[in-house]
Amino acid sequence: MGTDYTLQQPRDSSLQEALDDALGAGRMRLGDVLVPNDTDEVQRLVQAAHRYRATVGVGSKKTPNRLTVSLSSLTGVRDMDTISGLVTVEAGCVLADLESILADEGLALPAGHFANASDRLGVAISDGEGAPLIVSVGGVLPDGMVFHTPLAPRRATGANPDALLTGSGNRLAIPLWATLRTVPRRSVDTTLAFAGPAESIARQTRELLITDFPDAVATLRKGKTGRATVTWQIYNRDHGDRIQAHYDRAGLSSTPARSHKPSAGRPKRALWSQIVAAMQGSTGSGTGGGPLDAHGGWIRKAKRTHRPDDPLLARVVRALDPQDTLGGQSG
Amino acid sequence: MPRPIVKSLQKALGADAVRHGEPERLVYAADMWPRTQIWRHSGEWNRYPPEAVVWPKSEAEVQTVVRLAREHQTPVIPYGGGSGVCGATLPIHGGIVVDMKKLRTVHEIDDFDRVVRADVGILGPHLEASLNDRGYTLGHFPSSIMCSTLGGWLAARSAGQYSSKYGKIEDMVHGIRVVLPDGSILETPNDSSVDWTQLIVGSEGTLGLVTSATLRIHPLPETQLFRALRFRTVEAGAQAIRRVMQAGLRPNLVRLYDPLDSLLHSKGSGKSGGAANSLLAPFRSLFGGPISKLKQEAPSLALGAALSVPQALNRVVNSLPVSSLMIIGFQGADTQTHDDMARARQILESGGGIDGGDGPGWEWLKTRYNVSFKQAGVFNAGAFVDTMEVSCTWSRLMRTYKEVRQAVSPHALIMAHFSHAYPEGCSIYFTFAGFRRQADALERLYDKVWSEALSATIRAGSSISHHHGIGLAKKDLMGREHGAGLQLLYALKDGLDPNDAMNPGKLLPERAVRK
Repeated sequence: MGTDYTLQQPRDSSLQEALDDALGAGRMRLGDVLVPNDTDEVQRLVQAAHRYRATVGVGSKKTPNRLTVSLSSLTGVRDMDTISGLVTVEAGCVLADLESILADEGLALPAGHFANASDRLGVAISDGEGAPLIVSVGGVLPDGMVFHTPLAPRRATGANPDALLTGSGNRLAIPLWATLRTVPRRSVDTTLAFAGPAESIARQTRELLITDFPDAVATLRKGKTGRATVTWQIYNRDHGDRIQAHYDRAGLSSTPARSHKPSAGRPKRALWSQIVAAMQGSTGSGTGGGPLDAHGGWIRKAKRTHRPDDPLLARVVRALDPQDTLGGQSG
Repeated sequence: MPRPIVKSLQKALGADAVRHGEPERLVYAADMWPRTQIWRHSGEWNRYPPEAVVWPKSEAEVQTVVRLAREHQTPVIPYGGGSGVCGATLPIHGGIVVDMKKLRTVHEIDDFDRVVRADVGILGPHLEASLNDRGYTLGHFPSSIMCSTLGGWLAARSAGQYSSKYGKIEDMVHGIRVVLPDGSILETPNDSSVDWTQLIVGSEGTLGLVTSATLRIHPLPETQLFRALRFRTVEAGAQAIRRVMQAGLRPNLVRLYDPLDSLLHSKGSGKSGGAANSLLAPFRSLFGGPISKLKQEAPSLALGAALSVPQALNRVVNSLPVSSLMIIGFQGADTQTHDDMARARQILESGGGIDGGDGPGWEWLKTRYNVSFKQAGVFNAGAFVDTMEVSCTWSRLMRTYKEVRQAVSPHALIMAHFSHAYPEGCSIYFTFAGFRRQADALERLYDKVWSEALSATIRAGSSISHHHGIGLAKKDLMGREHGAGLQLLYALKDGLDPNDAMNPGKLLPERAVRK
């Protein structure tokens, strides 16, 4: 396994003694929230909980009869690999803060892969966001072992474990850090935004993406009124003119470009026909979009859920940890 | 006397769909894993025969096979084209080989969504031809394309030669249908919060049998451009590729050959290494020459003698004054393709690349599938050739290249090329050749080379496979690849296949105690 194990006789005889031993006397009691100093403390907490069949959740509110860990203090950047365009950052880092850190290095996160800039990275990952940006995830398993998935641009070494951790609501592991793809922060010539009836906007965007700009990315957002806005970031002014002309011909209006925050919800990769169908509804419920390309893009299908009701996933959780040490998200 | 499972299968699917004779059991006892070639060279043709081979014609028949196998507690091993090079289809615990090639229908080519839905048994050229007829391409051209199937590509996370533009198969796939070990169907994408497509793809048949897939497709390109450049060092060439990818350009092809590989890909008349070219002529037939030449130029005694002293041979090769050849290509709409090539050339030439015209690119295109057909002659001559494709971030690329070369050089002749580039990294494709007169010594050498190469890859922080998969060949290294995270893959296996019926013994190392 690449890790040396040392078996030790536990000195403690109760959960509280184990917590005292792991974290220091009186630092943590059942029902408390631990704000860890470092990732080692999370590991020691989970180890103690596993040994005494206690449940560890992630969150910020005290919950009776369970241990809760807040990742809010784990905000460090572990590695900034500017050669490969990768950043490794701890799970408590707020995405907006990460954007600022990256900006100082001339980098940025590709737009539209996370729902809320105010979210912490670990929360976003456990909710299933950001999958296309994740190169590697580090975390702690239910038995307290710390791991990280292999760090490589692509792998053919079995199922992608990053996909198992992204969206599993902390049931299989608590993500402690992740390595994300970044893009160079370029000076954008033009940001173009167009608004109109949602279905029409979606169809016009599709036409542009599959004909003239197959490698471009636009971001779609449907509002509550049945209208939608699409935003293009354009690095070439000529392209901007062509896009403008296309929407003008379709009778769709320009709108001032601004920063859009897609509605929260589980992101789901969708084909164009599914996006257009989602845009046909009269309300905006559940159809806030994300980045689009020639083959479709991302729609948000449902409100957040911290305990996904997926029987197959439940079987995997049981196989990993029959006692369900990681009870998912706390309050 | 066939076992009851065979009779049950014959009753359910018809006698013609189930065979258990010696010819079938012999053919399906191996794939293209070079180690099986060593076994065969030493006269061992049938180390792991299946109990029977079955050819289902529909997804319902696949379900029947899986349910019957479960009832009879018999392993199920999926089989596509048999082109895998890691032993993933070897029935090491016996069982039923399920040849998927009769599931080969292209169900739908959707112009609006730009996707194709096809059964997984379809061979690569047939799928591509179906798309070409409608003006599309999948953009997936592995060197094994002539003898590999869509299912095999999905099983091992295949990469085609144009992956830098179109992505690997896991980037192309939108959804799949898979028969799970209990016989039920999983269709993706579904409403789960985890992406089951990316959990099944790459699992090498250990979690279920994929029956069909929906994949993204692209308009046929109007234009294809190639350019060759020479770089003074491999490092300079690799840096230049990185700059191209990080500038947002997406060449359909980019390959950088190290000096020996460059020599073998040149026609022998270039400025670099002219004398060395003639010295190395025998190696060209070993690694890169046309198939027709193989019999006449099979490893000679001199070549065998040279391969017997690999350290010295590698030293001689390293001392040759040879530059590294890069071939880059762009395809797509005419204007855009010319613009992209012009931009790329500007970046490459500013990084030290010297223009070599478009000839090498077109020459590469003509011979790009040759390699997959050439193993038997090499092994019959008492040598082995194998390839190892590793995946590295840019910051770990050169360390990986150097450490693997250093680890393998005492044991085998080694060369490499860099291909499958991404903004954050690249694959290195190593080729090594070794020679021993005795088959058992050859097998020991083969194992030594692999052990050294994979260990060096892990030490350098890179992944042990980019697109060949794991199978039997690399499974013992999976613990070092994934560390404690291997528990997640075991849990996935135990959760979906608690009886370990699907392709047992592959991908994951054996556990002392199974849950």
